[in-house]
Amino acid sequence: MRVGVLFSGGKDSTLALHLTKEYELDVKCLLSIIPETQESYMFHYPNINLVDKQAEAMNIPILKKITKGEKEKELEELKSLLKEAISKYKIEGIVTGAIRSTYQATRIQRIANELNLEVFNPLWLKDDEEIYSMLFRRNFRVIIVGVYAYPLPESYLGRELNNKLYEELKKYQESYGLSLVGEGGELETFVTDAPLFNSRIEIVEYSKEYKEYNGTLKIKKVRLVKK
Amino acid sequence: MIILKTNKNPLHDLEFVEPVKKIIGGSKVLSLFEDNLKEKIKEGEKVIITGTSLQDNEFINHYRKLSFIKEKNISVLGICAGMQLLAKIYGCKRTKNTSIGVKEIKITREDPLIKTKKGETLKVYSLHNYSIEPNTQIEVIAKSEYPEIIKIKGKKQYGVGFHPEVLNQEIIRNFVKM
Repeated sequence: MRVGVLFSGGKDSTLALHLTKEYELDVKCLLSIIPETQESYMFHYPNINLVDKQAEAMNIPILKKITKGEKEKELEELKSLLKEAISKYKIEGIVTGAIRSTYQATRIQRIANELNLEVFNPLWLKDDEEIYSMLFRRNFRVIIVGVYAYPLPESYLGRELNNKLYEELKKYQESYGLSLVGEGGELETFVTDAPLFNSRIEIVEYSKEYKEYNGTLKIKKVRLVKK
Repeated sequence: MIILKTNKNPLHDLEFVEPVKKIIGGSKVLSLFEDNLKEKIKEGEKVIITGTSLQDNEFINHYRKLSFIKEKNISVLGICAGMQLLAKIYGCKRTKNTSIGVKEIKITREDPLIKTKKGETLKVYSLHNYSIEPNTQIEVIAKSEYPEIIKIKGKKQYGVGFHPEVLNQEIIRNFVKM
């Protein structure tokens, strides 16, 4: 089956992409919605302009759409992006990295159903531990590029998501009820290397913005390093 | 306990089969598309028939493979596509009715499958393009504009039109304990 993968560059959509390939579906393209503002309801990811570099590193075509970040417009943009993928790559289905947000899943399901597209949510209802163990098992290299919840510190920006950090996050989860996978927008991540990457991404220049448990790592310059 | 899957594409196992398997703590998995189901599903067995995606409709053409559940003492919980199959086996019609997302359904009859009392509502997660029309062989336990939880009269065979693995996992646990 020919599919397009909704891709933000973070750990969930990149993991969903890998599972799709592992199940031997034909990934024709990555599909990214790029918010013009930071205040997007569904597709709120910093550094999303870097998806081009990730697509290049994996040698998969990418289609993008800019959205102004308004709730309803965003869905129209997604629909027009899917239509473009249908005409350009003849996709028959889409893949998402949704885990347990019925809000997000519902809206995507509705649009895809209107376009008669299959929907795959390979991470659906996986618990935090399963997600992290799938990432670690596949040697994903993931860094934190956004923190948006108490008590996440500034020092987390740019840190690699490894076992040590996972244990720290687990403590925060126990004390503050934080979602470890960050689907509620507590945490945003960026994948710099994964099995499908032919080159890994090296961050050359960045800046940090952080205020009252809200912070973003702005990646300004990257380069691809052949593996 | 057996999980009988209805999805055509194996990638959908992760979304529709694995979450149910996790709730019941592991299980033998069979596919509706394999042969000799009649021999593989034995008298006294409990079967959960899992759902599939909105655009995946192949399962309904295979309902005859499960006609044997009418004659045997087999407990069934049909989830979404599983309910459509169960209803079809007992001669019910399907009607085009799309429902995607969280909604409320009303309990019309008390039953050990649900702890909720008659007249109360239940928040459920729906993902379907078809509903079923009940006939005389079916009791409706909960409904929206159409049946949402059904039971085959005189049998421990149930269908739910929504996805209890997403919301209302206790329905699956109650079925396991039955």
